[in-house]
Parts: sequence; C-alpha cells; structure tokens
Amino acid sequence: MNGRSVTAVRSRSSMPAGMVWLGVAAMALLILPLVGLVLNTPWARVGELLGDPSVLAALRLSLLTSLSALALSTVLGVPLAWLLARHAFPGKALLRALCVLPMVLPPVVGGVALLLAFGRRGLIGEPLAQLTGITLPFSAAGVVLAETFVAMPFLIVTVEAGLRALDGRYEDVAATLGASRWLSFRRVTLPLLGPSLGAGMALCWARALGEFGATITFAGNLSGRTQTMPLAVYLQLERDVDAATLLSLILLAISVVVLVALRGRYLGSA
Amino acid sequence: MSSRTARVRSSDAPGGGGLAADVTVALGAFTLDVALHVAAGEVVAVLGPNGAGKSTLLRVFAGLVPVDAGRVELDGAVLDDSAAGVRVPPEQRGVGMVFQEHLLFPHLSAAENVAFGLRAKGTPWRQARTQALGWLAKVGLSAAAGRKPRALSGGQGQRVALARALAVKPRMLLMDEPLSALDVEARLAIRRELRAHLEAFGGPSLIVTHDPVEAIALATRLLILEEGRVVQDGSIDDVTQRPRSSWVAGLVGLNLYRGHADGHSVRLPSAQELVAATSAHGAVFAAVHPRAVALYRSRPEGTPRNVWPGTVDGLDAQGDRIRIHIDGPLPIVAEVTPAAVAALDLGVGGEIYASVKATEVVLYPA
Amino acid sequence: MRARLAVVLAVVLAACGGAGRAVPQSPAASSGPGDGNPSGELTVFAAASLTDAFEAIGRRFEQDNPEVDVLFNFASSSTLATQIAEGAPADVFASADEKQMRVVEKAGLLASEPIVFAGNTLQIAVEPENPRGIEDLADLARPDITSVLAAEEVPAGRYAREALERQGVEVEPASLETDVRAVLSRVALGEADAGIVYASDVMTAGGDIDGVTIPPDRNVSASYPVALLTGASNAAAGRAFIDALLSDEGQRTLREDGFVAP
Repeated sequence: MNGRSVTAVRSRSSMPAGMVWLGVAAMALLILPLVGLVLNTPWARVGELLGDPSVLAALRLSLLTSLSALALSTVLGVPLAWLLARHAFPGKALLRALCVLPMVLPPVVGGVALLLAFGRRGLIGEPLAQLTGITLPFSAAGVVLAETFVAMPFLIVTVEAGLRALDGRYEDVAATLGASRWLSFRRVTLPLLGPSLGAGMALCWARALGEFGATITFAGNLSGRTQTMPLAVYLQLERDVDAATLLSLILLAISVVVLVALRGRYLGSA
Repeated sequence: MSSRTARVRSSDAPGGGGLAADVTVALGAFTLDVALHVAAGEVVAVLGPNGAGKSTLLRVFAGLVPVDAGRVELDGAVLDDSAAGVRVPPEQRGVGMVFQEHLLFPHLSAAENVAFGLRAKGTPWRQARTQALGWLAKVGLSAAAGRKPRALSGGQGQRVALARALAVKPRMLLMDEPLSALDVEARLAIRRELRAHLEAFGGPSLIVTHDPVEAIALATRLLILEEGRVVQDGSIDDVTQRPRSSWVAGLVGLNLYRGHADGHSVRLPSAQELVAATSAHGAVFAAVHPRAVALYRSRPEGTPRNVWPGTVDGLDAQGDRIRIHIDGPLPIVAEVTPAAVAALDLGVGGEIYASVKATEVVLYPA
Repeated sequence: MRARLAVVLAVVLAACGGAGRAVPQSPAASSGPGDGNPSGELTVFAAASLTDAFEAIGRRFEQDNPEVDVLFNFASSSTLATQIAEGAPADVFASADEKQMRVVEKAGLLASEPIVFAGNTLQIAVEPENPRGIEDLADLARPDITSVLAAEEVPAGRYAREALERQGVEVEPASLETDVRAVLSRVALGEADAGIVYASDVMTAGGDIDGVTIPPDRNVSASYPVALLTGASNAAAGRAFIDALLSDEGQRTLREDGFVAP
C-alpha cells in the first residue's frame, strides 16, 4: 500500500493514507457541530437577546460562581495535589482514585451525592442547618460547591503531574540556603509549577463554567441565584431556540478563548 | 573482611569547631554507618563505588535525610541527636551544598539565584543584590548577572552555584560531585578555582567525587566509603600507598593482597606465599606496584623469592605503558613497556611467569 | 485504495446530512401487512406526570400486542414539544397541557386531531405528617417555608402560577424545576417544605409524600391531550395505543393513579 504519495498528504509526516482520512473524519465529527452552532446564531437578534435581564443574570452568576469555584479548587486542590505527589501514606492509591472519581462520575450522580451529604437532611447539611441555619441547596454557595466538586479533580490531576515532574532537589537547595518550607513553596515550587498550575486552573474553570447536572440537581434553578448559563440554555431551548443558540455561542466562545490561552500546553506540546 | 565491620575513626580534630558525626541510617540494601571528624578548614574527599551511600551521607549532614541513630555536631552546635530527639531542619543548619547539576533556580537570574539565600534570611533587597553581585565578581561572572541559568554554560552554572552556596556564609560546605557534569576543559578550570575557594573557606568541607585525581587536587584527606561503611580514612599518601580494600587498590592502581604474616612470609588465602623484605605478624595487607612485577617466558633463576606461573588474561594500554592482567594461583597486574610486550611475545592466553622482589612487597597491618 | 476510501467517506457524510430529520414513511412499510396486529417499536413521548400510569398501560399493551415493543420518553411537556419540533423521532405525544400540543401543531407535525384523554388537578406536596402545618396555597408565601415550583414553560408550572395568581398569593420559590417529578423529589428528599404538583403525583408517590388538597374553586383543571405524530414510523401501533388510553381499562388505570375524567 502506497501511503507516501505526494498529493493528498500535505504534512511531512509519513502517515499512511488511511489514517489521514480517519483523522479528517475525526475533525469533521468535532468541528461540524460547532460550525452548525455558529451558522445558526441569530445575529440580528443579538442586541435584543443580550439585553434580556435573565440572560445577563445567568452570565453574571456563571462568571461569579465559576471563578469562586476556581478559587476554592485552587486553595484546596494544590495542597492535596502536593500530598499526593510528594508523600507516601497508607491508602494513598485509594485516596487518589476517590479524588479523581468526580471526573468520571455522571454529573447528576454527583448532584445526588452532594444532596445526601450537604442537603437539608444530609450527613453534614443537617447539623450545619441546625447549628448555623445555613442551607446550601438553592443558594449560589450551593452552585459553587457543586461546581467545585466536579471541577477540582481537573486541577488536582494537572498539578500533581506538574509536581511529579518537578525536580524535588530544587526544594532541597532552597532549604540548604535557609528558606523555610513556606518560603520555598512560594518562591521556588509555585513559580516552577506555573505552567501546570495555569493549565490546571484553566481546565478547572472551564469545567466549572459548563457544569449542569450536578448544579441543577443540588442547587436547583432560579434566575439570579442558581440559574447558571448552562441551565439557562437548557430552559431557553423550550422557550426560544434562538436565545438558547446565542447563549450556547457565548459559552463556546469562552471555551475557545480558554483553549487558545492554554496554547496546547495541557494538550502535550509545551 | 574485618575492616568493614569495625568503625574507622579519623584523628581527632585539633581545636574546637568542625564537624563531628557518628550516624547510622538504614538505606534499604544496607546500613550507612559512619563516624568521622572534619576540622575547620579541612577538605575531605569522599570516594567509593556507586551506591556506597556517599550522596546520602552528605544529605544527612545537610539535614535532608533523617538519622536513625547517632549524633551530628557542627562547630559545637548539635544538629542531630537521636537519643535526645533533636533534629535541626536543613534551613537552620547553615550548611551550604553544591550539586553535580548546578540546580540553579530556572526562573531566576544568576544574580537572583545568588541573592536567594540572603533574601531568605531577611536581608533587604538592595543589600542582597549588592552582595550577590560581589560574589558573582569573585567567580568572574559579573557579566552574567542578569542571565537565566539556561543561558549559562555548565561551567558558568557551577560557578554561580558555588557563589550561591558561599554567599550565605555557611558553616560547612558539602559538594556532591561538583565537577562530574562538566566537560574536560571546564573541569580543569573550575577545579583550580574551587581549590582557591576551599582554601579561603574557614569551615569544614566534604566533597564527594569518583575521580581520584580530583580528590587529590582538592582534598587533604580521603575517606573511602563502601556499602555504607568507612573502609579507609587517611591522608592522600596513606590511602594511595597503603590501600585497605580492593576497590581502593583498583582506584590507585596497586595490587593488593590480604593474608597472615609470620615474619617475612605472608600466607594468602589461596595457600600461596609472598615473601617480603620487612617482617610482620598477624593479619596484614600486602601491596605490590604493577611496575614492580617482572615477567618471564620461562621460570627465572636468581634472587626473586616470589615467582609463580600464570596466564595472560588481558592487556590494556595505560599512558605509554601496557597493563597486563595475569590470572592464576596468584592473580596480579603488571605494568611493562610496549617493547617488553613485543619481546615477550605476550598475547591473551599465553603462559607467563611473574616475579616480584621481596623489597617491593609493602606490608602493613590489616 | 485512496479512491475507495474517498467514496466511503462521501457516503458517510451524505448519510450524516440526512439523518435526524423525521422522514415520514408509509405505516405499511414498518408494521405488519395491512392494518392487522400492530408490531415493531412504538415510541411514546409523554409528560412526566404520566410516568407511572403509562408504564402500567404500556405493559398491558405489550401483553395484548406481543409483537410491539413500547419505548417511553418521559419529560416535561415543554421539553418534549421542543424535541419533537427539532425532529426527534416519536410516534405518539401525550402532553400535560394544550399549549405544548399547540407548539407541535404549529410545527405541522400532528397526524391526528388531539384527543383529551385525562384530566388532573393540583395539590400541594408536603413531607409525610405535614410537619410544617401547611394548609393552603397562602401558606407557601410564609417566610419560613421553602417551596419549589416547576419552571414556567412546564405545564405544571404554568398551572401552579395560574392557581397562585387567582388566589393573589405571591410566592418566592427557591427553585424552578425542569419537570413536575423533580418538584416532587425535592419535597420527598426533604430539600423543600412544599411544592405544587398534580394530584396524580401525590397518589403515586405513596408514603414519601403527603398532599394538601386545594379546594376546587381555587384549583386549576389540567387537560391532557394525546395525538399521533406525522413523523411516526409505526402509525398503526400508535393508533392502537391511543385507543388503549381511551379504553375502559386505560381510563381505569388513569383513575387509579389520581387522574380525573377528561
């Protein structure tokens, strides 16, 4: 089989022709739905749709909750990633599997689990409500919790990989030079971890922004308080397909920006 | 070998100060069990086969590896004391360390690297920078102050690493194969500079190296570590002329035998006998320099008392001489001229007689 | 070799372009010969509140027509109407209100006149034993009560709003759920104190839920229409199913589950 003819294969790689066509099919599968989205956007109605208060509320809420989830994930996830990367302790393999579980768990299942733990009658939720009167479902805080639950593992996994790749001796050197553990972490580990941390945070944020199943199951749906963009899209679909398309396009644009900012770093080339 | 189980103690350090250590660390395959003193200003080179625990020993002194049992004291201050439960963390020990790969922080410039320790101790930014630039000048790298480590050559990087370690005025200097990663030219240049810095440094220094030439150039004392134990600890002359293990003997190029002496006669484990000009009693080492070995095609007559047959096992060139490995009842390495090799028509597998004058057999207690 | 692959790819892409659109086929093509015993797959899109009743009716239908396999898609009527309008393949649509049925009608996808086959009324779902002492719709406005409704486009949500408006009660729901069953589970899980659902939902929820009745003069009557769709690939079975709904047995099942006469 002659896979090296000049005409069809533009790149210099000597991939067999069959694989090139499979690659083209894969591209079609991934790109066509996005193209469909862009082509069907009601550009004429953009002004009117963006002026709708519920659309703006959903956008604002989404940004607020996803960024909060990102902050929470970073503050909690980096130490956990450190623990997993640098320390050995009994049950570590199990702990790592549990930390990564939300990544593969169907989001609605995650939502149900969150209810059982943090709902009004939940394991933690019930004593919490009785002691402080705080209930998490139906609140923006509940949205943040649900988004953190599904998105934090992305950050943990990326940062853990980054820490593993980091030469531990840099921290040894810093210690011999007199740096306390905190200083060493701040001035040596974090800067060297930069790219991995950045990529992890970008993925975490994108995931939090797009979360639907866990959010609607745990936090519910109320414009301005718990109705994030994905929920708004879902409900708008029944009311006004154009509006749903536009909201979807906004989410798509944000995702594209995130990917471009990552510039292939997470995807392997950097 | 009994010398491997007994602890070898170096001479007590004159005056106070310096490093006094007696540590035991379990390392998996074996245990690191070392007692040593290094006086202020003394430079000790630590040599040994791979995996002997040399790097681990340095890391123990730096505080990066915990001690299972024992005590480490530096300039009178206790760094580790397992009995009292004392363990000073590395950042408080004042121990400077230089590694084989310079391990300069990649995200900081050369000057920032050198200033790092000063800043860590709270020195204000401006002062730290001035001192750092001063140190860079001392190692001849003022021009590279603003460069990032990836823009420096191996030799330059190692100089900056040295400046970085010295800038915080450590009480002890530890170096783990500081020149191994450098190319030959850089190695020679840096070695000269390193010697100067070590002479100027007031505290004790330990250098791990696998290059005996480097050890001899930089240190006054050699410490041989094999499988976690100190096998020999002495001056350069002492070690190079009276090695106490086959590894050391191989390093310095001597033939070494162990046996039991009764007067001038030494009985070796293989039931062979060596005759020496000096006399001794009890367990001894017998060292023979390869150049002292004479070779004959047939059994020689005459004075040499030590004569035995053997088979040529291998030949290699060593400078302008040829080393001949001889196998047989008494394996030995001889060093002869290429002309001699030709004259004797030596080849692998050939039968040969080796002889050593009694005066060339050096005896010393095991 | 490359030419062959190119042809395969072209065929694949062309097929992709055509799929997804409901292609009306003659019923005879996919069901049995003539209009005899219905067979094949039957896809029914039905409002969430019909879940239990339709599953029972569907089982009996399969027993009576062994050649038929009934597949249900339960969701809010608004979601189903949207899906049908976007080309989802279905044979029968049973909605919880006439508004959503009209959505499908406007899209030109009805193959038969809608027939109202059942009715329903609203009830307030509360936790067993009604620990919060909720007695009527006005109680839902109490500040200490967490109440949930279905979203506006969902029939149950629309009906609920109607009832509340009529009584002049202003409720601030904690959440607007995507279908009436989700409202029910919020109360069942204890996350909400009260939710407005159908009487049939309270009936089928059994011990997990108690219902507070709303008097008829303040209540809303829901009408459930059913119709055959133009995109039906199994019209014969579809018609038979609609007949089953309207039959005595079907009506009895609906009554047992809390629905009222149409």
